[in-house]
Amino acid sequence: MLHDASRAAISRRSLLGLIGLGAGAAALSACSGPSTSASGAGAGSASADAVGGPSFDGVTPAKTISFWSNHPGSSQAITQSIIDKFKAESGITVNLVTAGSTYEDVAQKFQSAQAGGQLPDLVVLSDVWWFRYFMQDSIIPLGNVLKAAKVDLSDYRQGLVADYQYKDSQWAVPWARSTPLFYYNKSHFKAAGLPDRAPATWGEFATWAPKLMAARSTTKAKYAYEHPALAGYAGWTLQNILWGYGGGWSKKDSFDITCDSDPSVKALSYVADSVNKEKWAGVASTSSTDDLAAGACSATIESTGSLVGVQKAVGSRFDVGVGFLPGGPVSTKPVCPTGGCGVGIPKGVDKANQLAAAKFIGFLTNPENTVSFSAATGYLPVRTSADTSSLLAKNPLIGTAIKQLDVTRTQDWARVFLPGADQEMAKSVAAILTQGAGVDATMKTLRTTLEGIYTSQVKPHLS
Amino acid sequence: MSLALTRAGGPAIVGNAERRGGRKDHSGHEATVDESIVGPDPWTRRVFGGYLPLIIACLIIVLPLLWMVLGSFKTADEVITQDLVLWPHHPSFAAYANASAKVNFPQLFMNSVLVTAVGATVKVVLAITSAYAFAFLRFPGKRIIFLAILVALMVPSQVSLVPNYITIAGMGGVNTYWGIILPGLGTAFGTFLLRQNFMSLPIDVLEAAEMDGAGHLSRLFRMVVPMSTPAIATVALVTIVDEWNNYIWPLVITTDDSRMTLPVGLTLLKNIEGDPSAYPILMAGAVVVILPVLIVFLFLQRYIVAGLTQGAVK
Repeated sequence: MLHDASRAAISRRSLLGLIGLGAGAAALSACSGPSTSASGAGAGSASADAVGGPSFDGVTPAKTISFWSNHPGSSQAITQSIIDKFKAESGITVNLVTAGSTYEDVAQKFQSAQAGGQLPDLVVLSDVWWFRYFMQDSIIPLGNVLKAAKVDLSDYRQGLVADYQYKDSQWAVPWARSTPLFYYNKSHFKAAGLPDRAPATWGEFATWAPKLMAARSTTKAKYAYEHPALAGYAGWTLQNILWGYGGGWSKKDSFDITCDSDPSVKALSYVADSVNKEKWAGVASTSSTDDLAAGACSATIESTGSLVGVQKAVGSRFDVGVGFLPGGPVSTKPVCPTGGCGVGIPKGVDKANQLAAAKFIGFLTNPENTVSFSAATGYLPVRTSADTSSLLAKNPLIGTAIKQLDVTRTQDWARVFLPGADQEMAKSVAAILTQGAGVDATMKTLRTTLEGIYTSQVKPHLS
Repeated sequence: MSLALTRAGGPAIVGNAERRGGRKDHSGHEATVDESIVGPDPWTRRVFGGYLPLIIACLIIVLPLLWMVLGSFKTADEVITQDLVLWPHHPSFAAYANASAKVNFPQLFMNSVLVTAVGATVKVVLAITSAYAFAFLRFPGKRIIFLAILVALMVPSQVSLVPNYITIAGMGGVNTYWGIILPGLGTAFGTFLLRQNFMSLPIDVLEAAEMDGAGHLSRLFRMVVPMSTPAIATVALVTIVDEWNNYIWPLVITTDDSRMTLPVGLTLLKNIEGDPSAYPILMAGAVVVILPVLIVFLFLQRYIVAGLTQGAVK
């Protein structure tokens, strides 16, 4: 039976109905959008018996566990070789799973697995993601399991360990950790007649910048300094300047938002002036170390994890110098935030697997392995007893990065504990630096936004 | 017209009045007969109206790809530089070697080919058969079902990610080929596009076939499919590219590189810590992923063009 096609044409009324259906679908998609705090909402207070976590008396470790990683610092090969050594030593097999390339990928995969089972036994937790897992009650406090696995946190760098503490519990163990580092082009500094070192304060650099700009005819640089790409870095690296001026995104160890306080506004005005008024600084679009390596800027701030790549990309064209992050008029140390990621253990997997995962954490970050991991990736050794002489012999610049670990400060809660706050900060800073928005007004708006996030997404989970 | 006049010159000058008057002198105007019918075709219009936009459009598409291929043969300091390096000074396959040291390309390539071949074939067959049903068959609830398909077209795939995962994981499909392929098989886009195309086919041809005793299957495969080659080739191409490039679902459902597809594998080359030295390696990886799709496109575009120039009814 042939059917006349023209009669099947959709009438106007059914088309309207269709539009309604489509709108319904769109509304549906809006409801179930990427609200990262949704799935654990029913769990209520995440930390009722948090301090030590579940008891591991009489549990024997499992023989096979899985480890989800995004291979930070291109670490797949070195992680696999540590896994192979662990297998030889303990008999426990660790399956290294590629869970994406960014921390967001890992989060999405972890989120899906929360709903459908097949959880990993060990998962990468970045500085801005672990607190969300804590709020969703999807990771366990590590006190008891580390004790059962005989992992002692006292030999770890305390500043890095403290990054994963909340409510007297430890929620992750530092693994691939980095800090920002001041990078500069030694030949540019020489051409401008500057000393061969990083500036001690941002005030000092403000006096250096005009000299670097004056030397541009020989250096061919575009800017004396480049602010790191705003998305992903503004919230992180700007803490350095904020702290130097005595400000911050929020008060130390508190959710009290201070991004519009006097010192914070002063700090950000310095940043805004460097770009908009004095015009010696630019803003990187994706990666300021690319521009440094190309000689397009004379100095920048980026992660220590980029060090090896920068040196490789520069080759023999010029010497790369590195130094501590400059301080400000109020504080010169500690003004360096920490970053990178640690590893944590999900809730809802067998205790035997959790115990095996904890044993592997201890092995993964033991003094010997943290050094070989550092050598392969550029991340910093997380143990105080680690013998870093081989690292220093291979690459003297990494010594500066390691020494800077002694003057780090735990990040502002507003950045790392508020879901999505990092993006809001990046947006606000972008408005100031690239659209000429006023610092004061923008920061007041940011404060309202951040407080809104706290009230709606964080506070309900903390009572 | 004025352009034509300046170009033609001599006996080829063809103003309207002159042409009417000069008809008798037939031989002298022979060369311009065509032009008087189709209108003048001055070189300026051919260049500015035809070739130039084409060339610009091609360059916009080709240059980034070309730059990627060139970049994959460069060293890091030739990519990250202020002095433009067009041609690699020491072209080498080092980046390709580096990339394949990090990623098990043969295995991932196999996985991608398998997933794409099976997934795209099933999708296209489903699209053709369902579109035929919507275009030519009469059955209850037809318009409601078609509307439901259109609604499915409007739901972003991210929305169904978690429900799909729960379903597939519950069926034991994590890290399996069928787990990667199954949820993507429903193809609202292909059904919709082919139905619209089938409805534009001349119904007389199919009625004639029916009178000659052709059943549904032979009408579909001997009449409808050959007449709709360009549309089907388009759907096939889009489907293949979609399947090949699909990232988030294979990422979520696979756990190791025994089942991982190429786009997921590429993430192994990317370093979340900005690494200026990694660009040649990233470009080499991208070349490996893009090449097969380009070859498929070159193959299929012949059908798209051939189909467009074929007459359906004579």
